[in-house]
Amino acid sequence: MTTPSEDPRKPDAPRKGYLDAYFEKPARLRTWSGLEVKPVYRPEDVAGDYQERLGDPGQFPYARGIHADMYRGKFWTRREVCGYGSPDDTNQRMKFLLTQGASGLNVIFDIPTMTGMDADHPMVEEEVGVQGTSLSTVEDMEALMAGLPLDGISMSIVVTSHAAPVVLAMYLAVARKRGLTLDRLRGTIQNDPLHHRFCGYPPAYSPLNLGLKTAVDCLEFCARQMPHWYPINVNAYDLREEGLGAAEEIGFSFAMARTYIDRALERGLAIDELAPRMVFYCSAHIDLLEEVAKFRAMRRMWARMLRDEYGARDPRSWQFKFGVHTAGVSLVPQQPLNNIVRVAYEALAAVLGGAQSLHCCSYDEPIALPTEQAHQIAIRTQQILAYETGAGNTADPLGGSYFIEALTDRLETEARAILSRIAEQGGMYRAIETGWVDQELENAAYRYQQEVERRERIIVGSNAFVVPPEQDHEVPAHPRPSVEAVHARLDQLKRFRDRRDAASVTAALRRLRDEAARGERHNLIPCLIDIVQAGVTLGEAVGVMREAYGHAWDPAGQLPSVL
Amino acid sequence: MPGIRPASFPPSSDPVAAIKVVLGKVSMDGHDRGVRVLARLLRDAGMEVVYLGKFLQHEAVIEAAIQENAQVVGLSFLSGEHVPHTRRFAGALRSRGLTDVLFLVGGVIPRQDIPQLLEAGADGVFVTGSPVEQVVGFIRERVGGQGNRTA
Repeated sequence: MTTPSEDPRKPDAPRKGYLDAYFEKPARLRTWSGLEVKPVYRPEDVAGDYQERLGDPGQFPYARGIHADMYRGKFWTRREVCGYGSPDDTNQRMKFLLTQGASGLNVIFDIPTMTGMDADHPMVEEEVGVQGTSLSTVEDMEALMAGLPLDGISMSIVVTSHAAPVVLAMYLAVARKRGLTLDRLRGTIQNDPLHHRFCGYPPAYSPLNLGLKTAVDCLEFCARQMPHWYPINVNAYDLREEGLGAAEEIGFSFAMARTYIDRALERGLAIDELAPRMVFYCSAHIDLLEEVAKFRAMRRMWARMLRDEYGARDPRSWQFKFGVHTAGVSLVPQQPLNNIVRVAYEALAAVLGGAQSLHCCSYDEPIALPTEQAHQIAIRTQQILAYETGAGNTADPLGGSYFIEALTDRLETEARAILSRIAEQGGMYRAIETGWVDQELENAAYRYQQEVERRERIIVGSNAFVVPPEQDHEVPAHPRPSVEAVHARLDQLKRFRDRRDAASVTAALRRLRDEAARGERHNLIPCLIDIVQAGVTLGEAVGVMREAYGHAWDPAGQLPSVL
Repeated sequence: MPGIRPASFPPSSDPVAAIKVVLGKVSMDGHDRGVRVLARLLRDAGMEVVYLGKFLQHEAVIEAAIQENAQVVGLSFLSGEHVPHTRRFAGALRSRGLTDVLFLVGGVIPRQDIPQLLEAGADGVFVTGSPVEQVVGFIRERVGGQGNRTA
């Protein structure tokens, strides 16, 4: 290892440095997740029968892809995560993305919305519209979707806690108001409360017992009434962002999925009713080949798990469907334009790995929310991949590579071991409760950063080939909402509250309270659609459900129950 | 403490003289991978670090800094709310008389905001991707290696 002063990767290194650079060999002979890699892979590294181990694309166990024709039948969905400011602001940006060739939408909300707090909660003024778009009412949802055909677009909604059923209900209320039947809506809601527990939100605000109940409500409602809607998007991505490796991403996310399946089966859903409606949101990290192998391993493991352990008989239950988010954590703000290159490699991994949908990070991800130009480049990255590189012309183009096949097998073995460790502890819910998952995440992130600090892991521009900040190129940053914009947003919400019919809002809240008291198996989605239409806000609906499940109306202790 | 001490961090020569650091997250944002890892790496560099957690009120961080007799206080941000929080926190810190406490801010922060953060009262700003040895070097230079600050 070299110390900073003698780092030959510096552009101003002396002559010895140039020679060192000329003769330099790679120091890290492992995958980015740390698996050892041999100098060469040969036929004997790949064991087993083709049909049994891989199958053709579209055939069990789907290691090579879930469709026989893959991208010849349909490109992956090009959707970019989008959300900032008011619903109107985000509506404008979503329309911009569509004019740039996005083939689906992907909306993300600010922290108050994600945790089920209205924009006018006394604690959240500094957060309104900062991390995503602010949404508190059904009118906000109308503004968000103004001019966008709900039956002509694939919509992905990123909200995960027990706020998810309310946000979904608002979307469905807007559809109902436009006279659309629910079977015409196409999209996804993240609705993954277990992952929500780790990834950035106050645990006290997102009680797991309520989150699991409402998650199954969404799953049950959509499975039975919305044939083109995916009501759970298991978020492997956020776990990976916390520092885990590729095998852990599989193991942890499958353990979460098993929890949802088990709960839904307990509710009375049939496995073939629910499994085809489950999708995953995966990371594509910087190690191109490891990521491709990971996606292949996930497909094969899912197919076998669903058929052999859960007894699913419908092939659609066996097909592992996933969207990809390129790895935000792999991007650095130093020499930020380099991130465009990183994202392109990661996006390539997603496509070579057979993803159904893709979000490319904008290059300014480690700096701020995306500017319009950064968003545009992210879409262009997908389009160059789709139209110029030829990467989608044939299914599973890396299948049969000795290395890819060996790595696929290896990742499956590692991931199975992790799944067993979680099962031994009584499943993911229990492993979260005991703090084991937190500890695993913490240790993984610590090891990762130690390797960066020791330069065992080279990150160009960050710990090698650095330039002083004053010589670095500065890129524009999306501004945070102005004080005036936040106040306008709060005024908008106040006017909404003032306009409501107080008696019908109270009646609606009482109805939700009564229905929530009818027990875990009673599905709250139909009631939520009605009451958000009557003017109940997100914070109010979540408050009623929180109380019904033994939690405080307002976990911040600042707002009294309105009932 | 688990883990091997990274070669780039010279161990503190005298554990009694450890620099005391209090870290935390205010605001509703809970992305704390960065600050948790920083806490462990500063410990590896020989500092005494208290990570207070997330979703903290400003007052709670200031109280902890006083209780711990900390020489350094650090806040971590990700979601774009760093400027108003830094301004408010720095004001509260100084009005409680903690004028000699080194106040650091870090996280996902646009470079063009750094002058504003320094003007608002931060003593140092470290964006994502900064090697921890830079943070260590800055703290050592500004606080020195010897002795706890006396209140």
